[in-house]
Amino acid sequence: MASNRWLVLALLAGSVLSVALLASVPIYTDGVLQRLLTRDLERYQERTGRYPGTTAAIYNFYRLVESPAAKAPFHDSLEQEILTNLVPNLGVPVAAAMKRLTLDYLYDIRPQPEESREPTIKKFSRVEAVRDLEAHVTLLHGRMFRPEPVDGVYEAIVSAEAMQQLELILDRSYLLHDLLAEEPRLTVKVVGVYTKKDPSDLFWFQRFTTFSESFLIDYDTFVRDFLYQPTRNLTNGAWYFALDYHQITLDNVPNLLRRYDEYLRASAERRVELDFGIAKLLQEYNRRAAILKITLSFLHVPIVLVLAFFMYMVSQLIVEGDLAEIAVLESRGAAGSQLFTVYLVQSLLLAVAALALGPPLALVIVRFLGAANGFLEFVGRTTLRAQIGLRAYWFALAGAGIFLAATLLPATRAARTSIVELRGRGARARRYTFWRRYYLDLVLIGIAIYGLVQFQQRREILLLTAATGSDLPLDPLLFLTSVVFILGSGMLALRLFPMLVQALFRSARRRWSPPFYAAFIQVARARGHEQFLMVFLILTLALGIYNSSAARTVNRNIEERIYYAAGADLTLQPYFPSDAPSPGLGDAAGLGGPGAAPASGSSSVQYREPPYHPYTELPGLQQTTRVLRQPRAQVSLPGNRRTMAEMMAVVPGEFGKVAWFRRDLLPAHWYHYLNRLTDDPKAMLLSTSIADEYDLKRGDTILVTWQGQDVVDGVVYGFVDFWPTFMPVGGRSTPKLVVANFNYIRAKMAVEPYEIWARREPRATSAEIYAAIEERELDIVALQDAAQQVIEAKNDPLLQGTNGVLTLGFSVAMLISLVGFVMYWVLTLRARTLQFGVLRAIGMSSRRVLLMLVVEQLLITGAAIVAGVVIGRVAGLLFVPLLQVVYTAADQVPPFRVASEIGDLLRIYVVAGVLLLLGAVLFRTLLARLDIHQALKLGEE
Amino acid sequence: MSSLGRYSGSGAGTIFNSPFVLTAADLTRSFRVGGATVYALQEVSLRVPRARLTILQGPSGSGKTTLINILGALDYPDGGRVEFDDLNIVALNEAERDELRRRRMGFVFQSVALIGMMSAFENVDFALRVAGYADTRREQRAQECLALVGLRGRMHHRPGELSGGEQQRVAIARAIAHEPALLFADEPTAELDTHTGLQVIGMVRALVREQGVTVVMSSHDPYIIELADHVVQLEDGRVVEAGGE
Repeated sequence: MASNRWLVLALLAGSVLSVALLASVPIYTDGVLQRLLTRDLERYQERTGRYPGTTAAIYNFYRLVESPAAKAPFHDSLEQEILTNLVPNLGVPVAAAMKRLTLDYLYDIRPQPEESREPTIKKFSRVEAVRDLEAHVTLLHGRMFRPEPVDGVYEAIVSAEAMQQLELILDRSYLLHDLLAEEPRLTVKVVGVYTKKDPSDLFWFQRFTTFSESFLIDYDTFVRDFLYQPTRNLTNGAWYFALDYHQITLDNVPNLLRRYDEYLRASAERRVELDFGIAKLLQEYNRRAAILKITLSFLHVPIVLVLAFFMYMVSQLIVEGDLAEIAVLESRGAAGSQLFTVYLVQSLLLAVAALALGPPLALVIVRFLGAANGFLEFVGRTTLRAQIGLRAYWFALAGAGIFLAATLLPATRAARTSIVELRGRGARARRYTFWRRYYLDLVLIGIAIYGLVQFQQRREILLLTAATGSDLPLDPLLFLTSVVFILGSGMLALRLFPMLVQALFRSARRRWSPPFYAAFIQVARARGHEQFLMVFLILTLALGIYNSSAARTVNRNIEERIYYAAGADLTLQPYFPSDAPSPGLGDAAGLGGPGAAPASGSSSVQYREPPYHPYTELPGLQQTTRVLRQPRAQVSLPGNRRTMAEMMAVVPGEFGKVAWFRRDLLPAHWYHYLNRLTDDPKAMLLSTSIADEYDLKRGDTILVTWQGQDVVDGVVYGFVDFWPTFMPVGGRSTPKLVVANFNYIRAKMAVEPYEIWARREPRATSAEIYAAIEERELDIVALQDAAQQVIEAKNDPLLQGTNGVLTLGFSVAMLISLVGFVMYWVLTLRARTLQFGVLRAIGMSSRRVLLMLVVEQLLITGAAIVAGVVIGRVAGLLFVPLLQVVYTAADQVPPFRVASEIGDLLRIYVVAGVLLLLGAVLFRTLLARLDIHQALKLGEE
Repeated sequence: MSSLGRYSGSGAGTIFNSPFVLTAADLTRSFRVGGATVYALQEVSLRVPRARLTILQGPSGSGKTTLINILGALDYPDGGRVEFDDLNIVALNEAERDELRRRRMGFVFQSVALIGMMSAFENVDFALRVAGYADTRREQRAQECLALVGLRGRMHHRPGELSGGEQQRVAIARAIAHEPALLFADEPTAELDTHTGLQVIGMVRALVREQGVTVVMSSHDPYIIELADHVVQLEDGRVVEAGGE
């Protein structure tokens, strides 16, 4: 039992790790989702200027104009409902609340200056009351209103905006008529001008709180005189709430949405208008949360699988160590169930320990995941809000369950072993493991191939319908299929392995030297633990390689898509002054995209070109070039035909150095196409779409022009499917492109705003470049920074989570295989000490025994490493292309390409090399310490 | 045929007509057990006559195994000499001792120390490979030896498929296959029942008589002395009586 202590420790470590890993799934998912939610809400605020938690219920009392007596009771019941039911049930604390009652469609009559056509005009205004107004305003002029009307005149305060808008004068009274009713009239007197005491006070709802056409009077007086007086029409009442959006969490979103839906339905019947701005955002968030949860859970499957295998292996080793004892106990009458109970108790104790230690470790794992940026890349990102929630405990429990199953399986079998069977163990006729007998390996591979075919067909359908992949969750089946494939292939490799060794052995049976002879026989015939080790190494390495390929591919393709669409590292749109009416900066800034030319405009606008050379001298930029882009160019084709196309004019030499392009996208290197543009100033490249539609060929002459421009002629020199920024598919009509030489177009046409594309220095940061632009006062209308977009894309929680989990999986797999490897060899060597003693006794030198072990290990570990690497690569080639369906649009440009990083393979080879080296060192130490007579003594026990 | 002649002739400086293959003088061996020093052997001297069966007899713990380990160059004594054909094997280095065991000694152990993954034939064949036996003669020699122990018919069975007695016979075949000058057998019958044990001893006896092999065998069984040519009685690590024939 002495060696058992280490095994039990390994088992404990395995159980803690597996529980921690599983518990980390919900913790991490929740953390990422919370970060996503907070970010979404903050973005909402930036975009709309509205406080994200803004909720409003508005009722238009004018509906009750026919039954004025009903308005007060209705108001009261509505308010009751909102305050006691709706708001508390949303489950999010209210940061601020505001109630507003309004009389609208009021006007007073103002005399006009004499020269006006009309002697008087109507000035429209509202009278409103806001509950608790006094606490939130500061008076700029005058004084606060007195609550009670004086001689029927209501005192009011107004905002500075209203003073201006309504052209009011302090201390003057205004007689207000009601547009919708003759009587009664109402007199208000402006006694004060107020401003918000604290502009950032949530009480002031950004969009509604300027009250720029309102007289504000005392709330209670308003209620008494206008709400409870059936004679007067109340226009509307509104209840605003600012939900504290920092308190909107993963956990209360579903409830929030459900309540909102309920009230939305209920209020629609009562015609109460409900306004919950972030409802859409939350719904979308909910959908993404579901996808993320499923995806990340499934990504953990292989890690858990590897761990389960590990624990099964260790448990098997423990049970085998006890086997002799078990058999003896059984022969003395111990029931199988009693023996099983012993193991059950042991496993349960470990499981309990794992449940205690696992969740805290899960928090550590989550920190690690949160810092993962790309595959095996880490950044110091703000830490995730990691909390062990209820779900984490459920997952931990599941982890403990898997642990119990994996450890008890060998025990159930052992409990059925009798002493007779044990004695027969050494015999040749050992039963094959069940997967061998039932060809489970081939079945698994078959299933995986079937799945692969299905997915490929589905992908084709998706490509045809051009559905965007981001709407589809990562099909868990796809992921499982690849895991099944790897598992099946691993088993198949194991089935073939002894045959291979046998064949190698037979090839030179007579001549093998003793170490080789013994090693071959040992490896070819032993069907013991080394199979576990092999399955283990194969699975680990194959999954590691597959994972790395998957992660690299997804990341690489996302980057490539961004760079292709952007065209270059940086694209700038300088400001071109023009004589067009109000061609303000603000106008063009909104366009952001190609061509800041006025969208529709007068026939010909004269532009003045800003100096270009300051851009070429910006620090941090390696090379710049000018690119003219006109999205709506008219192209006249031979045979009097016309089409619309995008026009791009480039300086070929510079463009080749600046623009991002992937070499495999065109049949020849794309420089070859750029060279065509320099062959002849009139040379133009056309997208294949134009050539196909109009049956053009090289040498055809075309004319290009656009609104307000001259006509240039060009000669077709070539056709391209892809070009920087050009999307060959998508949109309602097939996109078309004409590429021309910039200098030629510039010579032939009037000045036209162009873009400046730049390649940045390898180490230049965006901030440096931006600072330089600002410092040199370069007038820029728009700027696109591909690197920033990549960072943005990588912050996508799905991608981030995927990278995190795959990195975690890889690291865990490597760690586990190292531990498994050492454990396997230590135990095997220990079990074979007697054999080594015999070998030494019959005169084999230590070096030759060591050689025998090294050969054995090369055969076992080496074969497993080779098999693992091959299977991983094959799985990558087969399954990684299907990831396209998951992570990117099906019609991605440039086309999806499977990537692998040489560094990852190197890492794997390093780990493999370390394993082999470690083995050799282990053997050497063991053999050096081997006392032949002591070893032989072992056999006597 | 005498395998012995060929081998003893090949050894350097062998005095061919010496009646003793091996001579040990003043062997002492102690072990540290806990804090105390326990003497397994104290000033043991003995001679092993050529082509005879020498039995080391004594109760458990009398030092038989320790003595065999030292005589067989598996262990070192604290003091004393072991001369094997004029060679003091105590003074040899590890490689020379390996070489000595490989070419000139054979071992049969108390526990059946066959290699489980190899068939009976392969076990013998493997020993021959280790001893550097030529490829061409190996197969024939292995079969010959297995026939000698009466297992020719079962030579392709693995140890697990053989009975305890059969396994020990394979071990004997393996130990003599390379025609050693000296065969050590450390309690070869300890794990066998009496009947099978006697069969195995009978076989060893026959090897000595018919093949002229020199054997040093240990046993705690007093009755086995009957079969010995030469007996060394051990008690508490000392030789209490030596004689025979």
